[in-house]
Amino acid sequence: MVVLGIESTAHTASVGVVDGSARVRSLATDMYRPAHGGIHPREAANHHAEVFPELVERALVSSGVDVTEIEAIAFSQGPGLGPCLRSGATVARTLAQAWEKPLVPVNHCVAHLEIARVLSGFRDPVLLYASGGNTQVVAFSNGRYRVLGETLDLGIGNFLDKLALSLGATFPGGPILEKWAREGRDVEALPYSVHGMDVSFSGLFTAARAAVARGIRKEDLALSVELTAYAMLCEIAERGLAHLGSRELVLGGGVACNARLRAMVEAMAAPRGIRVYSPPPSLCVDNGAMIAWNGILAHAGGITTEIEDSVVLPRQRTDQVDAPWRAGPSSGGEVSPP
Amino acid sequence: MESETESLAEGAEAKIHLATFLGLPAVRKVRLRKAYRHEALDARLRSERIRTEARLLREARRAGLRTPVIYDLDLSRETLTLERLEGTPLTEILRDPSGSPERRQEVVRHLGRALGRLHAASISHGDLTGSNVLWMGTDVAFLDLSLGSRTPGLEEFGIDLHLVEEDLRTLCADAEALYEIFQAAYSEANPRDAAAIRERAQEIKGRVRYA
Repeated sequence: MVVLGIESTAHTASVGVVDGSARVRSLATDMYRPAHGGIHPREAANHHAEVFPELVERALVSSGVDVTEIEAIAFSQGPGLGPCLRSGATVARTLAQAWEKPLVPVNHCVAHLEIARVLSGFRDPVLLYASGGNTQVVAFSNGRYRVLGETLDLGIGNFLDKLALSLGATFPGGPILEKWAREGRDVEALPYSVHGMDVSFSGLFTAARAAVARGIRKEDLALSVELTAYAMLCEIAERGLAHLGSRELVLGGGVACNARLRAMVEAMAAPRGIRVYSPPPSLCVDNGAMIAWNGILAHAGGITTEIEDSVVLPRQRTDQVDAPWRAGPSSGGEVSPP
Repeated sequence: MESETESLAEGAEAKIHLATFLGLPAVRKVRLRKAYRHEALDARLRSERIRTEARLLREARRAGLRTPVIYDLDLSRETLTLERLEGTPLTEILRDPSGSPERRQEVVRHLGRALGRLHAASISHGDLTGSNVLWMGTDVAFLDLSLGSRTPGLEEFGIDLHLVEEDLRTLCADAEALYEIFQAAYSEANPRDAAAIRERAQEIKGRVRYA
C-alpha cells in the first residue's frame, strides 16, 4: 500500500509518499519564512496554497509511484493554525476527488509519535514532542494517546524564537540561538519551572529579557537558556517515563533536532536504561511522510472521511484520536500495517 | 540508629529505601544527581527541593493535614528520612478496573477536601498526581511536596487543580463526574478562594494550546 500525505499545521507545507513497510518514497517540503517577525497564520496559509501544487508534483515524480498505486490521501486534520490546516485540507480533498481515492484524517501529534515508533522499532515508546507551538510528553496508555505533560504557556520553539527575535535574529530563531549557545561560557542562574509533568516558559522568558537589559553576552544567555529550558524538557520526559514504567523514548518536533537537547536526553536516559530514538531531521520536523505513514495505519484500521465531513480541527485533542491500529491497552497487540 | 533495608522504588528524582529510624518503620529518600543538568543548576534544584519538601511537609502537618512525619533531614547527603505510611497510592485505586465508582467518588471527595484545606493554609502542592497521594482508609495523605510553594498565587493553586483534572482523565473513564465531586469538596474546604482558583484552573486548561 502507498499513501500520499499532506502536512500544513503551521509554517511547513510538505507532501510525502510512503509505502506499507514505512519506506519514505519521497518527501517534498517548503517552509514559510516571514520577512520579519514571527509566523502570520494567513500569510503562511497563502504561502502553502502557492507551493502545494509544485510540492505534490515533485513528491509524485520523485517517488516513482504511479497515481494508480496510491491507495489513499492522508492529511493533517489538527491540531494547528486554522488557515494553514485549511490550505492542506483543500489540496487533499482536491486530490482525493480528482484521483478518486479515500481521504484519511490524521492527528499531527500522533503522526510524530507513530513515524518515530516505526522507524525506531520500539513497541510502545513515550514521545517528547518539542516544536514551535507544541511541547508535550505523549504516550499511548489505557487505549488512548495521552498527553502526560505539556507546557502551560508558551511552546518551547515559540519561546526560543521570541527570545532570539528580541536579540536581533530572524525567524526561525532557534537555530541562531543554538549557534550562539555554542560560544557561551558563563552560565547564568535562571528560573526553572516544572509543575508535576508540566512546564512553563514565561518566567524564564521574563528573566532572560531582564538579563539582556543588564547587558549579559548573548552567547552566555543563549547557553544558559538552553541548559535551563532543555533540562526542564528532560525532567518531564523522565517523569513521564517513570510514571508509565516505560523504557523507550522517541523525539519529535523541530526543537528536538537541537544537538544539545539530544545529548541531554541521552544523558537522562542512559543511567535509567532507557533507549532513545531521534528521527533524522527531515522526519523529526513537520513533514508529509509522517502524515502518509499514519494514514497507512489509519486507513488499514478502516478510518476514512467523506469530503463533507473533512473539516479541519485546529484544537483537536490528542486523547480524542481513535487508534484501531493500536489494539489493547498499552499496546498489548496491534494491527500490523499491510 | 538508622539502618537501611531494601530499595523500594526509584522515582524520577529520588531513590526511596525502606529503613528504620530509632526502631520505627521509615523510608529514606535520597535525591539523585542528574547528569543531564548543568552541575550548578542541578545542585541548586536538589538543595531547593529537599528544603521545600521538608518545610512544606511540616507546615502542611501543622495545618492539620496528613503527611509523613520527618524523622531526619541530612542536607549534606541530600537525604530525608520520613515516617513510613501504610496506604494505597490513589493511582492504584483510581485505575483499578474492578474498583467501584462509589469508592472512587469517596476517594476524590477526600482529596478535594484535603487539597482545599492545604490551599486554605496557603500551601500549593506542585506535583499533585495520584502517586503522590496515599489513601489511608479514612483520609488521604500528601507525599512529595518538593515542587510546592509556601507563597503561592492563583497560578500555583490553579495548576494543582488542573493537574488533578488531567490525572483523573488519564486514569479513569468517569473522570468528568469525579472531577465535579472533587471540585465540590474542594470548594467547601476552601470557600474563600475556591471560585477564583477554579476559574484560573479553567483558564490554564484553555491556555494549554493543543492538549
